[in-house]
Amino acid sequence: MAIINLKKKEVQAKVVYYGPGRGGKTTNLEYIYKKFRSRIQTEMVTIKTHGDRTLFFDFLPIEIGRIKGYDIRIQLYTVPGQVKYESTRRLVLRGVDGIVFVADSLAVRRKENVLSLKSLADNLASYKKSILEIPLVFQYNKRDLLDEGIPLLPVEWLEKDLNSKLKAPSFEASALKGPNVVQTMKKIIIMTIDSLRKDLT
Amino acid sequence: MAQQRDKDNFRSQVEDRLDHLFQEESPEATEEHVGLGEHPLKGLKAVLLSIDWEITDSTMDSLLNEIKNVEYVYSEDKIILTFLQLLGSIGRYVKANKGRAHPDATRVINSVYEALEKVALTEGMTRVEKEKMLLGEVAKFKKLKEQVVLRKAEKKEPAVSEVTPPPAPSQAPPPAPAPEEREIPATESAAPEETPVELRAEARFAEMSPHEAFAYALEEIKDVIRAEFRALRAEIRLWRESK
Amino acid sequence: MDKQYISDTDGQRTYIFTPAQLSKIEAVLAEDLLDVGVHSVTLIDMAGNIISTMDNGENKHDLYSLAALAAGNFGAVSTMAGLIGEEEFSLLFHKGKKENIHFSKVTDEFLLITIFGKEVSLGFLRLKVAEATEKLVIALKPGS
Repeated sequence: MAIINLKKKEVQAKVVYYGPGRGGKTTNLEYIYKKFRSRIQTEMVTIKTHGDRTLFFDFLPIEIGRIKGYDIRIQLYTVPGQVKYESTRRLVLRGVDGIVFVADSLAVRRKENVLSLKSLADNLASYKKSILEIPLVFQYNKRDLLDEGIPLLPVEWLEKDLNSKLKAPSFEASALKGPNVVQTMKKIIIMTIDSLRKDLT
Repeated sequence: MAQQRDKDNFRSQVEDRLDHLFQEESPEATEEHVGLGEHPLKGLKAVLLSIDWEITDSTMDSLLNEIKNVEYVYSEDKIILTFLQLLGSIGRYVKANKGRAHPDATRVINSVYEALEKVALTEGMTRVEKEKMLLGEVAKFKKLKEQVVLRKAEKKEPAVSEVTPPPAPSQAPPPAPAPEEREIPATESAAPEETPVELRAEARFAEMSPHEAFAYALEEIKDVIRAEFRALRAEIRLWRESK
Repeated sequence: MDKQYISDTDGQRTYIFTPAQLSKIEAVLAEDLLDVGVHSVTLIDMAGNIISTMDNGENKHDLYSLAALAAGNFGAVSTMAGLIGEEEFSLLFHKGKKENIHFSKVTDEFLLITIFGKEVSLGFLRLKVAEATEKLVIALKPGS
């Protein structure tokens, strides 16, 4: 649920990176944080296990600057991907305004992608939100592994498994190396702000 | 012979070094921390700890009841009684005003209790030392009272009446110190800048009766304390003269 | 221009705060809490967004991170309450050596985070928070 402060002329919105465990959600944020360190004034918050797996969430606030007279602030969050953290995922999704679904391109993770998307839909429904209506972008991550000969799901399969109904924008990416990480983020931010535009006028 | 001397020398050096390295703390350095155990203050401490977490009619009533219990136990000890009176007075104020009470009120309550605990539990504390501690807390109490009055003057809120008749002083002041009575207010009063505040406050008390009752109660407590000190000074003087 | 939507539970997308509303909120935070000596007080929503924040001018904390964590923390603790058969906990408070944090729900959508030190006792703070909450609930009503 975005917050519009008419007094300070400020907009705050929440974007959550969702997806199966070890799919690259945290890596996305880490890449953004590292790349734009000089421009991002605040620290990235991470709550991790000793094994470096997200335990609660990662958090990275991005100030876009002034657009149409409003200072826009987007808070990027990731959820923990491991199956056992379902309640935590639901908590982090509270008040979400836009979603990046980070799918794992590894062939062995095909089923996990589908299950994770289903859990997203269910968790959104618990807040009376519909996955069909909320701004959403797909990122098919780890495409760089193709060069290393590791079996990946073809993009067509990923599209069919995950995006046949939603028909959301999608990006092939490598969160580790960088391609399309920023583009994914830009796209979801634009879509999220767009969905709020009528409330700004 | 020289060898023996060297040996002794070396040994004493080692002993000295060991003594230095593994110095045991001198007995005076460690404070006597007497646990409360079955001490009469145990209940009072417990109630105060609960007030730290929650201020309700229930917790404040527990405090006031516990103060009564402890007053009964220490009915012969005027210094401790005075401490308890301070606690009771602030306690009633906080109970009556709750969220509108001055934020420092609970801090002063805790400070008064800590001093009370030290006075009650520290063995070998002289009467003079005890009175010094009491005076310290009375000063804090007085300061709180002034802050309360100032705050009310700023906010122009009606105070809740506080009628807290303290026990009458059991020792009548001896006739000799009569000329001192006038002096005491002067010596005990605060720096000159504060007197106008006092006068302003007094003037307001005359106008509003709830204020008046509250201030009257506080003044009575002060009178008790003054009377006690007067008596004590007389005693000390008599003792000196007898030497 | 002073339009407003009611909160999130109906799937609404945004919550708009008018300048008048925000001024009222700021007044409550300043008078009921800041004035009694707390170090900072922040009103957030359960998503971790900051509605309003005031502090005593010392010790600037990273409030945005705090807000995100507070929302997550409160959410987690509320869920735990449910798991043990409680509707909610009446006290969520963390005690530090110098600074303490107190969380308090203001309606189902908003959370009040108070950071305070030794100047204010917890018991007294809880009284003030209760008072402030009553006023905030009114200020947060749409159309107020």
